[in-house]
Amino acid sequence: MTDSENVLSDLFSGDGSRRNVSVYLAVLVVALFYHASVYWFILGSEIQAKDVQINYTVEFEESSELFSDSRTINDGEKETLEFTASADLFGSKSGFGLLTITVSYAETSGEFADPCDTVSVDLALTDVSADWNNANNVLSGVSSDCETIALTLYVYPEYDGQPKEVTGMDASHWSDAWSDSSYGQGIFELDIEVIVNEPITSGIPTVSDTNEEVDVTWEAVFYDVSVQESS
Amino acid sequence: MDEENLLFIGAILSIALGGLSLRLVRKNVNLPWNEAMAAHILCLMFITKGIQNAAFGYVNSESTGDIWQFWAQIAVSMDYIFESSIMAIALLYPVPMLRNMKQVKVGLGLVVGLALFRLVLDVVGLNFSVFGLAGVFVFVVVLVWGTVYIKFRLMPAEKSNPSTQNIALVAGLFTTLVLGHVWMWWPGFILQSEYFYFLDPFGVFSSTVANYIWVAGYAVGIAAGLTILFVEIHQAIKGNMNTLLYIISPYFVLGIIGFLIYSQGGGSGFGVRSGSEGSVQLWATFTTSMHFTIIRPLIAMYILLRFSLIEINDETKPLAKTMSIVLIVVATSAILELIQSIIPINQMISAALLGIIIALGLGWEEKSFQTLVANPAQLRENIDNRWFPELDIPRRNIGRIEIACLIYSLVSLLIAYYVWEFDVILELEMQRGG
Repeated sequence: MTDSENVLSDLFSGDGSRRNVSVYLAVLVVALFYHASVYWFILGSEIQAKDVQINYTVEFEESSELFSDSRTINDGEKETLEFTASADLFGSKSGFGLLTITVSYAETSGEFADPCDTVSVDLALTDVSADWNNANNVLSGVSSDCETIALTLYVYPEYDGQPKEVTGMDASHWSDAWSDSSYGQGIFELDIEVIVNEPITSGIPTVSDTNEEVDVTWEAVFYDVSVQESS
Repeated sequence: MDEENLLFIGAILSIALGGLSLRLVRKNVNLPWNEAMAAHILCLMFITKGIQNAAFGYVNSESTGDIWQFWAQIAVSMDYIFESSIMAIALLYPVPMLRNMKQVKVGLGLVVGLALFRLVLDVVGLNFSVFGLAGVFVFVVVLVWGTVYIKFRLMPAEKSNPSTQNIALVAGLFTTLVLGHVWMWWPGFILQSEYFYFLDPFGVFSSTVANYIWVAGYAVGIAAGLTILFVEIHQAIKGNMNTLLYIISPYFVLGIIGFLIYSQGGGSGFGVRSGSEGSVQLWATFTTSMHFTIIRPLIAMYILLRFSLIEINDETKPLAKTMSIVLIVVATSAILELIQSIIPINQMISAALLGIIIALGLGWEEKSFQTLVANPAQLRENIDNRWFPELDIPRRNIGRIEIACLIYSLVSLLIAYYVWEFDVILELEMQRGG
């Protein structure tokens, strides 16, 4: 490399330039040392602590809203029941954790030896924001022996009511992560179908079983979240 | 106006500037090799910066699902181009640091190699690690442009001329373009405030050492800025005033106000996002974000027009005017929107205000555009030829920078899809305790 191809020699050429550029570079070095001393020593412990991952325990205090409904459904017919959680709860609670639905019925025809009817229920997929694909969801059920049918929909993703151990970020981050009120907003729809099982005496003209009364209880489980540092 | 909206405005401004000016730069066949290369890279840098702004806007818009990984990866890939472009321009313009073909190949090869190396790190799951040398471009900026500025601004009186002062001005403007937002944190650096030293640009993804390198770059950047400010004030007192003083001094004045505001809040520099205290959030939007999204394109447009990287003639004038009008109108309306978000004004009044401001802005643009075009600043007159070596680099080779940039962008797109599809960033977040 010839002298004319070396830009450094030109930048530092001349007494004035050499002094000016040297002073400038010295200022940069001083800034670098000052920053390093503050970063690693003066504020070192606080900065290191900032990067230490803190463990938190996320706990949920549950409270429920119950709503009961009852329908008499004719043989072979299907009815849709609707449920909307109270708007007040979305404002006062951290989140809507899960929705349980219990469907109960009995043989009410009063006829002799009349077996239980067949009731099938299906919680329809609607545009309500919820964890519809959760493996633990029970979204449909059938009963032919008057047993109660229990359905469960996990509304808030990853919510199971159990405390959770999490790492990193800060308490407000985790609190915010569990405080999204958009989950569970909207109308849930439960389809119920009744198939009447006739009594063995159904051949007698005065004996008939044409419908069944079904009782539905919706339980919306809301929670308040609390986040505690665990280490 | 939320920060992500400002990012989208910045995207429009940057892409408009980059795209339109690239057309004009292509037409300017008389540019010397180093200016042609720098101008091409500058235009492409702003196009990719626009893509980055838009991608960050999508990341911040809290879309559901994990597609944010795709946008985040696009944003960081485009930032690699930005950093490498800045280093490449510093090595070429206003005076080339690379003086023969071998130096050009090695120097530009290194900056291109760094961008590709960073992409490879992202593919193998070493995103945001210390190996990526994030922030190293700031050191290059302060060393190259800072030294050039000092050298030419403080030339002895007998050697000083308008060209030496213009070279210093270009170096100072580019330093401002890159580091203006950092200069607004200068009191935090000196007074050891948390909002500066706790800067954590990559959150849980980056280690303490990676953060240190990044913030150390900012520290020397502030030192360079304060030195430039000191030199400009000293020269102004001596009667040798330069436009640069008007441009850089607001950053340092705003830094003092910013210190009072940031000290009240818990957020630090880049960490200021929606959810932070209102005043801190607002201040960050009006200063840091505005510099990133609006001021940078305006400074670049000034450099392109003032220093004849764009040749204005009868053929190119309409396009050049369109470019400057688009930038002024979009920037003006964005700033008014920002003001309206803190001082609610009736929409009819704000529409009328916008009309008046734009009319005044266009009037000013007409006048200033003519001034800029009529008096292009010279960089080479009465300067020793050794500062501007002649290299035989055909224009078609310089044009290939565009193809290289396009290929890089397409590869980045594929890598972003891979990162999203395989949850690379999400897994990294879990590993590193997010």
